[in-house]
Formats: sequence, structure tokens, C-alpha cells
Amino acid sequence: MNIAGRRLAYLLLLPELVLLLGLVAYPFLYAIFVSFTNRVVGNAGEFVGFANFAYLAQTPSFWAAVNNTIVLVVVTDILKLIIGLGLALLVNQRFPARGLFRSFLMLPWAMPAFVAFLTWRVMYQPIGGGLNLILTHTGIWPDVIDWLGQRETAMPAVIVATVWRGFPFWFISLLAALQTIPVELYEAARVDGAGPVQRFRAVTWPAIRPVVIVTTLLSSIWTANSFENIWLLTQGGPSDATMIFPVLAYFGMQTQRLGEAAAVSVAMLPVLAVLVFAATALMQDDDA
Amino acid sequence: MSRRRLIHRVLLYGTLIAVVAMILFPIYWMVITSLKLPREIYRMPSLWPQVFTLQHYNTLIETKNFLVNIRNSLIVSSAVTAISLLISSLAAYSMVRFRYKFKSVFGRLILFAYLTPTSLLFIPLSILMARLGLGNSLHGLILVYLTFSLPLSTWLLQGYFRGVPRDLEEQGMIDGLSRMGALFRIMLPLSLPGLAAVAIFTFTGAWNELLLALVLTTSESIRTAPLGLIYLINNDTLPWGPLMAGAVLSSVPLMVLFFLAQRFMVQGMTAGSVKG
Repeated sequence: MNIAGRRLAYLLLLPELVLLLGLVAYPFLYAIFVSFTNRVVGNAGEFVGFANFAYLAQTPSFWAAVNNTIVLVVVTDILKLIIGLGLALLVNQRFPARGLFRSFLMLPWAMPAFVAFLTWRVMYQPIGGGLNLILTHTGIWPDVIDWLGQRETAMPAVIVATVWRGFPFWFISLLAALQTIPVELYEAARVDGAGPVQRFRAVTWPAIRPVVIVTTLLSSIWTANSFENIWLLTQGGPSDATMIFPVLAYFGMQTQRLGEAAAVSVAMLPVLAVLVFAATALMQDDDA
Repeated sequence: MSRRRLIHRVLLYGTLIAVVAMILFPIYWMVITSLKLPREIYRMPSLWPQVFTLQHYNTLIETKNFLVNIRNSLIVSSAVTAISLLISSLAAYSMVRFRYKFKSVFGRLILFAYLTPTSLLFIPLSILMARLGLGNSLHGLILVYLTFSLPLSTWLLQGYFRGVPRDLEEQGMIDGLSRMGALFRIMLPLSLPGLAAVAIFTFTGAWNELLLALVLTTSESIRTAPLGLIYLINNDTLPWGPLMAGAVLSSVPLMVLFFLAQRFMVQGMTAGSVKG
């Protein structure tokens, strides 16, 4: 290509590059830097090495966040996979009103996250909540439960709301992947005498596996860093039962100790980096 | 055989209807809670309100100035969408139609930016915005929202642009169009469905954002819709009526938008963010 053309190419890329370097790359490195200082609001502080991380490792809230993040990510991923794949397999068949069902199944995804989680907060209330009303009226459970107020039920309640809002993304991705499988493959498998389970293992699963992997990586990254669900439902409570990293970092920031708060976010970086590297490697299209 | 088919159908519809009921119930609860009298919300909860009232909408709009929050959200989301679309169209066009060194590095950088979570950036961004004098302003919010909207829209637009055949632009350029002319007169008009999908994604992304808004906003007059609702909880005890009225007002426009543009959205999502 000629030089003028190349210059134009860089020129077109320039605004984006400047903004991403300034608003993502620089703050990213700055967060790491701040996490090694004792910076507070109004005072830049000085370099303290790993002191913030050593301090964090002694606080129970930090370990609660580690545990809760793992539980939240693993359980919601598994549930979203099962529900999303199950529904995608159902809707991938031909039947009347299929389009209508597909629209309804995408509805939680169309709701703003803050609306969805505020609604679930109200749903879970002992007074004025819809869930307790259903359970007591149908006789499934006679007593009113304070779902978000007790340690044993808070995390399951958060998981249910998170899955409710998040499964449509899996459903749509997996449905799209299923629709790329040629019908002939199924027919050939059937001619060879394969039953439904064998057909799934030999035809369906290999075809959708790449999508499942990328979706799992994306969903894990997003869930581990989700703020709205926890903040709007429980604020990490009761007594850290649903505490996760972003909420802990936000609380840290409210105490004005920015070094410690940044260390909370940075502490999760090693695991996050692995997920992000894996996801980008699978998503990047090199033919470009 | 037909008996088996019938059973299959019944199971299929039974499962789907059960799932749809679980999806719709919280939404239904949001709507009826917003329309119930307080005594019906707190004292004698029921599935169907005995009296319908708009008093919570009134409270929200008259005394809580919720329309100001909606207006702020509209301003921020529209500005973010317009800026992202412009800048990311240029970048995506450069990456799809030109060949140059380090292109795959830029591509990787955009993906990294897309996957870098806000929870990692909100502390340094708040320090940065304070230093730039943009803390506690809608301008600052618009600027920081570009951190997630730019990479997403660039990533999605690349997918769309790749689907447009080169020949059309080449023909246009033979007929006297410049490169930029080819972008604005041929590529963008042909990518209109893609641009619409990307616009909706960036608009809703900005409309939904909570963490950065919470960290960067201190004045009541510049709170966005999610902040307006959160501060209802902090100020009153159990304000479920007005809260759900606000939830309805902030979600209905977006849900209508999604239903109308559903086909584009699904195409956009599956073409761009998740590749097979």
C-alpha cells in the first residue's frame, strides 16, 4: 500500500487509540501503581511495597470475597449453561409460536441490570415481596423468609437473580451456534443408528463447544466483576456472606484509603488476566 | 408415533410456559407494586391490586424529580452513543480495509480494553477525572463511559464491516470517491442495521451503568436514573412503590427498543462478541 494510504489508516485509528490508552491502559497501570502505595484521598502517599496486600490477606472480608467470587462464578456459570443450553435445544426445534417464546426468553437480557436487581430486591422482601407470597399461598413453605437478610439464603438468592438476568445471553449464543449445524449431519447420524444422546455427543457438542468455551470465559469475567447484582441486593451482607471484590473495593474507596481499595481490585488480576488472555486468543480473528 | 408426538409437544410447551412464567413474574411484580396503594404493598400483599393508583409515579416525578434523572441518563447515553459510533467507525474501517504493521496488536488491545472490567478502573478513573476537573459532571461521565462503549462498538463494527464486499467501495473509488467518501457514502449506509444494533448496545450500556456513576457523581442535579433510584432506598424506609415506579419508567423504553430491534441485536451479538 502507498504511504498516503497508510497514513490515512493510522489517522483513522488515532482517536480511538488515544482514548483507549488514556482511559483504559493508563488507569489500568495506575491502579497497579496505586495498589503499592498508601495513598489516601488528598494525599498521594508513598510506596509501601506489598503492605496493602499483606494487610488484605489478614482481613476476613477479603477471604470472604475470594470464596464468594468463586462460588458465584462457578455456580452461575453451570446453571446458565444448563438452562441456556436446555432452552436453546428446545427452541431449536420447529413448532408453532417458536418466535414468540424466543422473544420472551430474551426478556431479562433486555431489562436494565439495575432495574432487574432492584425488582428482585423487592421480590425477596419479607414484607411486600412476591416470592414469599407465592410460597406461603401455595403452601410450599408456610413461613415468611427474609431471603436477603440471612447468611444461609443470601447467596442462593443472589445466584437466582443473577442467573435470571444472565441466562438469555447463553441462550441466544448457544441457539445461534445450534442453528449453524447442518441438518444432514443429524440425518447421517440417525442413519448410522445413533440415539439422541449419541447424536448430541457426536454432532451437537463438537459444533457448539467453541461457543460454550468463549461464553464461559466472558461470563466468568463479567460475573467476577459484577457490581450491580450484589450492591443492589445485599451490599455484600449479611456479615460478608455475599461480599465480592468490586463491592469490597468500593467500600474501601468510601473509607478514602485508595491504596488499599486499589489493592482489592488488583488482587484478582492474576486470575482475571488468565481468563482475559484465553478469551482474547479465542475471539481474535487474524484473517483481518 | 403421533401419540409420542403429542406427549413431546405437551412437554415442550409445558416447559417453555413454566420458564416464561418465571421470567414474567418478577416483571409483573414490579409493575403491580408500582400501582398498589402503600397499605396493599406492606400489610396485605396480593397478586392483584384491589385499588390501582398512580400516586407512586406522582411522588417520584413531583417530589423526587425523577425526570431530571431520566434526562441526565438520556443526555449521557446519547452523547456516549454518538461519540462511540463516530470514533469506532473510523477505527473499525481502518482495521478492516487497510493492511499495516501492528494491526493485530491494535486488535488485541481493543479486545483487552473490552474485557477490562470497570471494577479495576473505577479508582484510578476517579482520581484522573478529579485531576482533569471533570469529577461530578455529566461531561466526565460521558468521557469515562467511553472506556467500555468504544471497545465494544469497535469490536462489533469490525464484524459488520468485514461482511460488506470490497468491490462496492472499489467501484465507488474508480468513480471518483475518496477513501473517506467510500466510508461515509458506501460502507456506513450499507452497514446501517449493524450501526443500529451497535447504537442500541452502547446506549443501553451507558443507560445501565452504575458503579462509575456512583463514584463520580456527588450532586443531586446530575444523578442518572439508576442513582436516582438507589438514593430513594438510602433516604426512605422501604420505598418499594416509588422504587418500582422508577424501575418501570427506566426500563419500558429500553424493552420496547429491544423488541423492535431484536433481530439486529441477535445478529450483532452473535456476529461480534461471540464467534463460533
